[in-house]
Amino acid sequence: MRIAIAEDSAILRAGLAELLAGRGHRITAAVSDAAALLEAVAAEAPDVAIVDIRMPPTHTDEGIRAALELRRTHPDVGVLVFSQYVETRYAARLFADHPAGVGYLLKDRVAEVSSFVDSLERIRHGETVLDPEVVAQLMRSSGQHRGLDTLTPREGQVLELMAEGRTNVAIAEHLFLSAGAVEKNITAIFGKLGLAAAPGDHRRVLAVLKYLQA
Amino acid sequence: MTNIAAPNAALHLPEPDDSRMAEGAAPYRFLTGLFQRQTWREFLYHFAALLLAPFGFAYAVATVSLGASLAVTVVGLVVAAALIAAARYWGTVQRSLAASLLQQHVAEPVPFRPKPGFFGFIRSGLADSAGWRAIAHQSVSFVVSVTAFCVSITFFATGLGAMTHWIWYRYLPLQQAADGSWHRGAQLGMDYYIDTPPRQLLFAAIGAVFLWLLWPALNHGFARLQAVLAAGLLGPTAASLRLRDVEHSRNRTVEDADARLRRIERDLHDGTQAQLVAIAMKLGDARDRLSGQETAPEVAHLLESAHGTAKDALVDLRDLARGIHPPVLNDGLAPALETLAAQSPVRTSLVLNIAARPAPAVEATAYFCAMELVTNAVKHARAEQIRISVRTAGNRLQLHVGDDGRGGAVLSRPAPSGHRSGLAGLAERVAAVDGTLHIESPAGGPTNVTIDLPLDPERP
Repeated sequence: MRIAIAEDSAILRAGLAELLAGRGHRITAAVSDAAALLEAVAAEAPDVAIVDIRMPPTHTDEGIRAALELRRTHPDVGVLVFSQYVETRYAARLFADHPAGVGYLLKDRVAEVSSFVDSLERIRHGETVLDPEVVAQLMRSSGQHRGLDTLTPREGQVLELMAEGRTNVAIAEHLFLSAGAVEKNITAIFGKLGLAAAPGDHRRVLAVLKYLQA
Repeated sequence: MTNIAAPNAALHLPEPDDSRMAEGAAPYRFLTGLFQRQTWREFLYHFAALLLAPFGFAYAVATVSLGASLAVTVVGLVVAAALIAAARYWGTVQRSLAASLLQQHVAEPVPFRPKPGFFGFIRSGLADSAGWRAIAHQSVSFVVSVTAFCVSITFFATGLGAMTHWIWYRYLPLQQAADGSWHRGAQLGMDYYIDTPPRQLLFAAIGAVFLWLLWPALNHGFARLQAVLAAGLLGPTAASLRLRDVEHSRNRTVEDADARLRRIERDLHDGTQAQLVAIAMKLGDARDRLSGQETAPEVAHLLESAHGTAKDALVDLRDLARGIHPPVLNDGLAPALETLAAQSPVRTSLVLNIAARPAPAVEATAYFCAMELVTNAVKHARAEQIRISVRTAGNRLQLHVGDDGRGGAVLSRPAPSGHRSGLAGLAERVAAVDGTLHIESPAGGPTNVTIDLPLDPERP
């Protein structure tokens, strides 16, 4: 994979670059702010860009804005937004328009290196990756969201795993269900959330978004 | 009111304007007063003051009589409070008049700051010392203005008339004295006519003394009296200035504390958190690389445990940093509360109606209050549903947190050991930015807490 990194902490930036290069990926750019990232991507488009949320100058949501800008200008570049905290509003903004090929992970997740690299691969292939912590938060407060409170606990679990970007097969494995049972649950979720028949992936994304746009 | 400041009260203010007060008015010179610009400005002031005086006096009389007669009703109290507070506008008019014509720069009194609530407004209005002093000024200055104008204009006209008598006497009608002789000229006393050259000369000399020496001196004397009145009654009192200084320094302390917390959070984020992430990442990488190879189980175990500790430390540090200052608060209260509601383990509804962005210290106060109240509702009240609502109205921000738990929350006094309940801590936090906290929590529930904060404690 070709990977661009925008992270203002030098130690983390260097560490990430070293780690990913050590696993055979190519780092196209390792920069410390949003403007430099946009320039670097314009010069050489990576497969995935890793973007820290808080970067200079204001240290608030530069990363989210840069990610949205990247989605607009380079829709084929996957974006992983990297955050110290879970902020549901930021996540909602990020996933509002084109959630395919977008991820939102806590920085802690790099500690599980293999699964972190795996997340990058999934984003590269157009999947959506949501941090389990975000999903857990959304599930906890999901009772407030219209439609979601009608889901059975099992359907809730399936939706949670969908939100993490898992495939039907992975969900089936995780919950010890048959592929057919997962399929049935998903159909029920779509029905309860009022998602009209459309290409499957699209509806999956919409179902996940239902979490975020409460 | 009793708090009448010394005329130099304005000098307490650290504003650069104040130096002008001392040097602005050129020293009055007795012999050349007539030719000083200041004398004519003061003359003009007496005209303007006379024009204003009846209206100001009528306002003062109306306020006192209307207020006293209406005070038996609640509505009457509101009217009286409003009239007293609004008397400050007369003060403003008089201050600007004194500043432009008398070179007397009087500092503005400390702004009117009604206490929140209906009765708060009544109390603040009725006890508004700046308003009362403006009313007192209108009454006193009415008398002074009328007197000053009459005296000044009389001496001016007399002096000018006598000095120019030798020109205009010829237009006077002929008058017959008791002895039958005819005279043309001003008549002073019995049969004394100013119609001979020596008398004309003497009369002109007297006029000159009036116009040159007496009129400017009297004119100036009354102007100084007006200036002293304005400075004494329309400026801030020393006590109110001291209070304002204390409030300033307290607000600065609150802001400093808020800024310091932000800095600590930033330092944690940029330094320790990043380092820990890097450590955890490298340990994870090392573990992954070793997993396929032949290694001593002790080494693998050590690595695994170090990795786990680093990850735990990250979680702890994140909670700690968020408790110090949630970074999303930099984006405003709305996203911070949204995140708070989303993270609440029980069903939490949020209604936001924030028209203006509060000062950072107020946002932090509102956020931490909401956080503490939600924690209480979950932990102590065992609530199943929490409602948070925030709205701004005028220059106030109202935070309301209600839950359906078992109630019984009380605002206890700090224990002798210095340990405070969470609610007492909240009350202190709220008071630090001049807010109020109202708790309604009967045993058995529900609990409703309302917190009222100024949007900006510096400009209430």
